[in-house]
Amino acid sequence: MLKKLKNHWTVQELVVIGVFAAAAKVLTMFVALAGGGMNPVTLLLKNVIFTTLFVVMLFKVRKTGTMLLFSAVTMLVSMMYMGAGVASLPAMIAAALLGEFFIFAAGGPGKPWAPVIGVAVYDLAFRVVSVFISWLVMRENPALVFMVMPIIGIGYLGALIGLFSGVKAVKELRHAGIVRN
Amino acid sequence: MRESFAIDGSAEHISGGLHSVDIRAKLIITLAASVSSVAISGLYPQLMLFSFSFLYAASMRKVKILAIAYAFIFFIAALAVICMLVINMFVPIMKSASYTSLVIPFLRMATMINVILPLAFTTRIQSVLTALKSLRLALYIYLPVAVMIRFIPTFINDIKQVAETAKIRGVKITPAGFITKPVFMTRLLFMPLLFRSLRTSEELGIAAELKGLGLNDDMTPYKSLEWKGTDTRILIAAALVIVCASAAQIIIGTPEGMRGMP
Amino acid sequence: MISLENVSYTYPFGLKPAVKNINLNVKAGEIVLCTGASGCGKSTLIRLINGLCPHYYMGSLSGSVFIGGEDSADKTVAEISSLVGTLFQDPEQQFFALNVEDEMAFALEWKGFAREEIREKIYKSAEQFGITDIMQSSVYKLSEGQKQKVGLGSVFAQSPKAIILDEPTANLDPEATSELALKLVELKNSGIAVFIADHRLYWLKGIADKIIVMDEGEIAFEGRFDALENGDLCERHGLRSPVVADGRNTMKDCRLTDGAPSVSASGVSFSWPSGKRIFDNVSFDIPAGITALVGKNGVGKTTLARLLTGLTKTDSGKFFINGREVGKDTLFAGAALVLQNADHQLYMKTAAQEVETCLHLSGKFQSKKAVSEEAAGLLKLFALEKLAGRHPQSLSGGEKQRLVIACAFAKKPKILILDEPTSGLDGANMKRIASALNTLAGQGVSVLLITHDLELMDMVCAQALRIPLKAGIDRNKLQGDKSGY
Repeated sequence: MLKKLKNHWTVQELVVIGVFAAAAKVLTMFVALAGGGMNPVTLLLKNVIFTTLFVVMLFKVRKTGTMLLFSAVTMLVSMMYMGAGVASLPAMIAAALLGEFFIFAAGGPGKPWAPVIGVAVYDLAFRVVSVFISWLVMRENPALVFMVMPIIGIGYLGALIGLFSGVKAVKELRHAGIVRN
Repeated sequence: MRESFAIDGSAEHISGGLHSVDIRAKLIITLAASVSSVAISGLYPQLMLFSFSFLYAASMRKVKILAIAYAFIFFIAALAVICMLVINMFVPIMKSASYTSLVIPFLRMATMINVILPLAFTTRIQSVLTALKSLRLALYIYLPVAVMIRFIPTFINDIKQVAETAKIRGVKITPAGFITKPVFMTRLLFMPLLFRSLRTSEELGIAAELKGLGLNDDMTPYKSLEWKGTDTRILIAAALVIVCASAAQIIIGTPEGMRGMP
Repeated sequence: MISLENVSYTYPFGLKPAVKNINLNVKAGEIVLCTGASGCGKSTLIRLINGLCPHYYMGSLSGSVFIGGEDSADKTVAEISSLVGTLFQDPEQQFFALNVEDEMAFALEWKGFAREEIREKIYKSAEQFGITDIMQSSVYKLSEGQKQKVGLGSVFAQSPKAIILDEPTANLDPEATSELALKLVELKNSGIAVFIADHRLYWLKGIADKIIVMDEGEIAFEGRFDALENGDLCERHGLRSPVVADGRNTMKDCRLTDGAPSVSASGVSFSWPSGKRIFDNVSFDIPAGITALVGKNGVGKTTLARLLTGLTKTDSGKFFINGREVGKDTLFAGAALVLQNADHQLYMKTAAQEVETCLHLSGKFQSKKAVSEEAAGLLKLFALEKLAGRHPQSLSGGEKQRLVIACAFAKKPKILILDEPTSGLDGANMKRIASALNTLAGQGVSVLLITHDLELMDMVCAQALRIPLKAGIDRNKLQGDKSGY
């Protein structure tokens, strides 16, 4: 099974996943710091950037399971390296599984719009599961969940914009001759 | 960002305490404590989890980091109280008990922070990679993780350079700039790093090919982590705390005032 | 050891062959230098030898490549790399591990060697390259010369029979370059076949057994190094000079130049937060014209550039432009800085937009028309006018470098600082940049050049500002005394 999975991705594709995961982490972190933390514009931009990179990465590595692997790698390193909370881990994995299913349903990762559909589902599912996990953590006082809702909402809006900017970035990369397929 | 940058020399003097605990033990504690704090809803079991996790966090001997983390929790808690006040003004059905029921979610948050901080701040990133290798994880997990860890500091330097070049050209990277010109600012920071990522992927992919990655089914880890008696003892202690807290949850249950709304 | 017979190769999506009719031999214990203008096919030749073409890049290959007498068509890239090691321009970009020891062990781990065997091999190699004392160092903290040695050490731990070096001196200072040359002679004497692709030629004089000049994918010349000393060959193929004078010690000190200084500093002190004192009450003048900033690595050249551009604040001291004291904001407005990595400085969709954005940001042009006209002029000055609509990131290394310098020109600076503007560039591109800098200097701008490129220095620098600077200069006394400090 493991061997089969190993042969599923080429070494270069695994490198692309790692490099994009690093870029996504650094850029979102930088925007958060430069933008002054929790302001809405920063929250929006962070999500725009993350989703854009996610879309570009999925256009570069068009294999089933890439979304799941990218999410797992990002989460694992964030947890061990930067102290990111464990709470978002299940949300990310669940969202990635759902995203993968929709990519499959859209005809597989090779289809032109499949990565975009996958990321759109991922983003939505991630937010929904995040709300559920927030409820789980704050279930003794569910009113607290309302506090998190605007943050999640703004994040989702950013992710939606990121879908469009992701497609635009892929087009620009084609113009620059970097992405050919 | 943190101690993970203390990859070599500067990290040599950091030893003892949680620094010498195996990363796998810390990872298990983090996951187990987080899951149990979510599962448990009683005040006393939560207090128990919080107290022991606080001792665990305090043993990393990083007062400043802990202070910042707790300041953040208190800030969020204060914000929550204000929100509750506002909600109670408009929704009279909310009882005063709602304020006391705030305690458990924040205890839970604090417990999670107590276990994640030592994982992140007492682990040399080099040992993360060694642990991943020692576990003989498949290439598809090990390689992206290693590449991500390897390139985070490089990309941070790149972004700093991009920001400085922009500054010299006359663009000020300020919170206000992100609000007034979000598209331009994002492009300015994003595009160079996007292209850099693509080029790095290409170069590193070639280097990986040349180094023979994936050539063999198995790799021989040059170094491996040593599981010590302390690691076993610390895991047993953590397991005991979780078992006791779970038992307390079953025996004492959740006080009436702390129960969530239907 | 390395043999190419009638090799032609076309990349996927390529309309014409990247290299054609290549016949080449590199024997054991021989150093062969391959040079040529950018895009001549040097990199493809390297990829053919190490198997990346066609095994990695795909494409179509005709002819045969033999490594150690065996046809490489039947081998994988990893198998070929065990016979032929490759070292790229920036070795750090190929490092996977975080410290030197782990990096050197990395390839061996994946090739299935036993732990003890790995240890033996890497320490033997480390000793050979003199890096045993930095085995525990972080890869982020190595100097360029050390990175090169670590890269070479990693390659040699795999016991190759031949080695390929791609632009090995682009990031090295002259001292590290000389050290590399000596190391290559040692390898040659031990029977290793060495194939080097480089724009810089001077450092291989007396070392290279054979040179190959590539042009448009074909071998245009093959012969001895001495043939390069015939200026025609270099001129015809856009090569750099085979003989370069080291003017770092002989160049006139800029404190001794005639005329009023364009930029001056008085009583400048600066220490890093760690407490390390870099400048202690130093004063200096930079006249109009091109000045080389000379000093050993780590002495504070980049720090001085940062202070002069206002990126870093001094602890104390004053700056003057044309005799008028200026604050941090004026320094920002009056200074331009071109950093080494052009990729970090390009973010627009077209080359024209890149320059236009800089012109807008300079605040010196009001109308759109004035901006477009000025941008067109700048693109022309750097021979980029035909590329105005191209995406900046799709340009070649030399074109990108010219574009970022054009962007710096757009600011109309009083002082322009350039950090290694010609590393990895061919002779023709270097001359284009030199010519543009001369044009700017002719307009009374102070150009400060931080470079290891002795050829560029020799070509354009009229004077040098030497670091470390001495403390406590009496400026009034200086005006009447030109005998130095």
